[in-house]
Amino acid sequence: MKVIKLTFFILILWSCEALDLEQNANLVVVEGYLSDKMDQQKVRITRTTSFDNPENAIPITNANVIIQSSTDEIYLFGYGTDGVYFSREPFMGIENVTYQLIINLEDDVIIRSTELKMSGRAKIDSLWFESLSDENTNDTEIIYFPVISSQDDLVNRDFYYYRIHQNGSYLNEPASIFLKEDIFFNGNEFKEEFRSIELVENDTISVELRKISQEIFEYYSVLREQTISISANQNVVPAPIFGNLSSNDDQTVLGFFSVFASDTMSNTVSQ
Amino acid sequence: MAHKLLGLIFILLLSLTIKGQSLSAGSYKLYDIIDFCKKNGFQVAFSPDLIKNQDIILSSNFALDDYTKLFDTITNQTRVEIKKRGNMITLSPRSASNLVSIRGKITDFSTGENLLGASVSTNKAVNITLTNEYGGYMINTKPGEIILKVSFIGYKTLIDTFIINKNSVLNLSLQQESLKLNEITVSSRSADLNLSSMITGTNSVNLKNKGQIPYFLGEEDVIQTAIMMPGIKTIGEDANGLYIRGGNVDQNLILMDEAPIYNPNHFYGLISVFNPEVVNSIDIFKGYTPPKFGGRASSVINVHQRNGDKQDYHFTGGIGLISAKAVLEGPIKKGKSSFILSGRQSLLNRLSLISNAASGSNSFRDINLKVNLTKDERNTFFLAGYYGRDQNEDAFETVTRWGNTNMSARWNRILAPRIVSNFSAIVSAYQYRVEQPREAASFIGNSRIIDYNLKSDFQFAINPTNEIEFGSSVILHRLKPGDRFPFDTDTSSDTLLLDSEHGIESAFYLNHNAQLTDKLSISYGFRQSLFQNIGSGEVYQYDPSLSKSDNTITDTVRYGTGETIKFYHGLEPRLSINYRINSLSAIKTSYNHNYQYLHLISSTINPSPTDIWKLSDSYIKPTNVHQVSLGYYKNSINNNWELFVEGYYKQINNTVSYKNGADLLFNPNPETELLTGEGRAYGMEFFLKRNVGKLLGWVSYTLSKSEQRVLGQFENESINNGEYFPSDHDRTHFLSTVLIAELGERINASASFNYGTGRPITLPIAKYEIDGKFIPHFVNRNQSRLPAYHRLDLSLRIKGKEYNKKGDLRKLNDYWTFVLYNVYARKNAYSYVFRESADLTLANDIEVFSVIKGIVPGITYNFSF
Repeated sequence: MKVIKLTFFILILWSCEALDLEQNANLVVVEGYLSDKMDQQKVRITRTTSFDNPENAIPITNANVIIQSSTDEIYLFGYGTDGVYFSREPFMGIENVTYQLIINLEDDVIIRSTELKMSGRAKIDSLWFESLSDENTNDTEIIYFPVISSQDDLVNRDFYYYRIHQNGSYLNEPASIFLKEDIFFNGNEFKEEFRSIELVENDTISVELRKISQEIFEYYSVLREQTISISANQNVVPAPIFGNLSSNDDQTVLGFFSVFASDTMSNTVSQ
Repeated sequence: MAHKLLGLIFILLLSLTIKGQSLSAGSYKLYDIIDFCKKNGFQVAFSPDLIKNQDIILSSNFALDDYTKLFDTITNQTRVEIKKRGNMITLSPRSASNLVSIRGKITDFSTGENLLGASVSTNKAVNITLTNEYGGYMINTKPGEIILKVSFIGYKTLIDTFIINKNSVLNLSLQQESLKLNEITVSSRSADLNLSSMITGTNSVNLKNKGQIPYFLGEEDVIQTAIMMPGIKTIGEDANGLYIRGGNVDQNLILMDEAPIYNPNHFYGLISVFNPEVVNSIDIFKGYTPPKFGGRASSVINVHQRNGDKQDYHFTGGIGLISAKAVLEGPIKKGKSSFILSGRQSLLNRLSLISNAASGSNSFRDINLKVNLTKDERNTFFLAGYYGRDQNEDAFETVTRWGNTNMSARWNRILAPRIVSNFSAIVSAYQYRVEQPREAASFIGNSRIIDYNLKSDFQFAINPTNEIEFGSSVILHRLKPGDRFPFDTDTSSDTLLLDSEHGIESAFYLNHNAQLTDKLSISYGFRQSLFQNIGSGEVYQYDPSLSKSDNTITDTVRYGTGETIKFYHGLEPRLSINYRINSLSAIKTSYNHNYQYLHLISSTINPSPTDIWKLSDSYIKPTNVHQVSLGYYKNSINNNWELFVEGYYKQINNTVSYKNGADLLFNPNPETELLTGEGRAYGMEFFLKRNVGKLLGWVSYTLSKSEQRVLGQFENESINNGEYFPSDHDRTHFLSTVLIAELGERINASASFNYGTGRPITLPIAKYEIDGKFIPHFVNRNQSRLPAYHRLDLSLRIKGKEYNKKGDLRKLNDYWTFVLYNVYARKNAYSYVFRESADLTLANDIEVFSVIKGIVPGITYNFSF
């Protein structure tokens, strides 16, 4: 009996194992945004960190950042905080004009994005709430989820990305990367249901619809697939996520530069 | 003097006997019978130098009209061949090589069920013959008195003496041994088949004694049994498909009564589509692939269903946590034809079974039907069908249904004493349907593959040491990569119909099995496969200087209906050699080259039921594999112990891989997401089994490596810089041990322990932040590994009483199985999940994801009457 107990004890100990991660990357990460709204546009430049670091990003503070347009306009950026550079003057992207982000780092390292064209206007037509009808729940509190409707543009192939704030807090979970392309509803009015967002009465929701380029859409798609909680079946093979940036020193640059048209709508759940 | 007188009287009497129109029963000399024929008007030609005056015994009187019977009697008793043309009779010696063939069927004595893989041998034939997939056998032997031996695991060996002087039919039945608990029913079927079989790397699975080894939740399953054999792996629990000797899941040709099965799993891999109650036998060819099989690059899993009892009606049932099943079988015409009908229905939700999670639901059901008709001893007809469906509904009301459907009609005909043929017509389909009612563009999507297959196979036994097999096959593949329709009139979704794909895959083959000496046998041949991808269809042309994408399409070429879009062909040589060192050991080696023109397109680690199949086309070349194997096989005296060690090397060319982030669902030009690679796999397999005794079992161990390389045309298309990296299913060590103990007449207990190196995974080397989201940064694929997998399972089987209180044999046969799966509750890692810690001052959480999180008890009850 003692032998059996001892065997089980050893086996149970054997059941516990730790994971050691090899950490050896120190890569530049760029998040650049240019919207069609007159505002101070922003670019965030950071470096990767190791998993044992509580911080997810190490800011780079001494970069020179510009956005250059196909109409030969150059917009200068200055450092703000936490790796974020703001345009010195408010400006906006113009439809059908292409833009490129250029970053000068120390040691003559130059990072360039691909040239991106500003898309046509994005518009949310309405935002409302629907309730989850769960017969199994005896809870008296009704759970709602937001729904938006919008009109797709017939002429262009469109790619959509939604950013959502709930009661003022940005939903930054990987599962909250909501994406849609119009391949199956080109030119139609369409609805988007955000059923994973649970709302109760008096909750406020703000949905920003961004019309992004195909390459940024694909970037977000891979990002979502790889970071969403892995289920028991059919998870994708993780791989480096390459955006639309390259460096003259052939080092990998993570992140992207996105040029997008956007529209935002807010609403509060009421009875 | 008295002797001479007696002799004279005898001759006088004899001459009186044969002078008339008949011959009385008695002993004669051959020349006297010849004289009798001459005296009755026949001309007889023969050479006394070649035809000696031999003794002939006539057991009954023969009239002259019965000359055929008379000649048969002479032929049966001598080596004289007699031919009659008109009035002329010619006698000639039968040459030493003149042989007789014995053919027939080996069946179960009580049910009439064909026994597949039973060994048949005679004392005058050098080699052993195995019954084919219809229970038929054919063996050539020297004529005269022969001792025939028929054996099959679980049955009493039949040894009988027959006088065989001409081609004969011998249909034989074997009686089951009483269901011994101390009997291994996995692996080879006759005691020394592992030595005598010419084929390397074959596992035969026989489920005769069910409930013998621990199964997950007690649910008997052929695939679970198969993965306890060396060289056969899965990537974890709850995972679809089998990986055999480093081949991918789509490189296994899985046949159910000759019909291909595209997805062999229910419940995402928890159990297989093969209802164990109707499975007769399973052969897994992982080393050498006989030329009659083709179309897949790595291996063949050949499943035969039972034919049903030809004598009596039976009902068999079972219920467990996973499913309830019922089987009805019986004669349509007693002794001539029978049917077997079975069905299974899942009972509990898969997710609640494995993880106590209840979001969403899964279910499955399947039906098998098989009918056979023996018209006469030369012609047997079979009709078999299968229908299976799985359904999954997730938390967002998306319903996915998928499954296999197939039907096969076969005609098994004995064309001539030494030629057996089989003609088959098969329709096989796999399809899935997705209903997504709640999305922005709610839709119904479906995809399917249908094969229409005609094939013929012939087996010609030239003599005891030589056999020829040949045949041909043609398959029309019709693939619907995906149709997408609006879910209802309110949806914003448009209809999208992707072009169908069509292909004609044909092949012919020839194989020669030869026993060169008592010790050396060889099987060699070839299969010539041809494939045409045919229209109608469109082929996008891409800028050759750029990576394929929607944006680099330069032109579209349109092909009309039936027009050849792309043609491929491949010669597939096959060779297997068995050198029998002595009666207890053998060395075998083999080589084969296989082509595959059909590919499963999947971007996930483990295949999904909604992955699509794709034909080779202008951009996707056929996958082809070269494999060599070398093995040493050793049995103990009486075959109580069995051992083999086998090594293999496999080179896989033109594998289909995918780009990072590939989107393959409803993609009109999937070639933009695909890459071509290559693979290599090599390893050593070890198997030791104890066949008899109160404590028996086996140890199966595989040491192997499986790697792949994707060297893209463009820099960003190469994976891991174009270097070889471990395949997703590469597991260096894989060990399965099973112990079965007889605890009493009706009780046995078993334990199995499985250990495997953790599968390769891709771990992040850093992290960063995008739009407030924490992102792990991955670089090279599969450079790390999950922790080792190991698990102990226990089971107890209690058989119901065989006799009632009155001492009569009970009609009801039943047994209970109790299983404890994962006894020491190990949370084997399936993958890692990287999350941002809730406490932002801490480092990120790395969470181990396990499918089975604790001890899983199981119970089943099975019965038959």
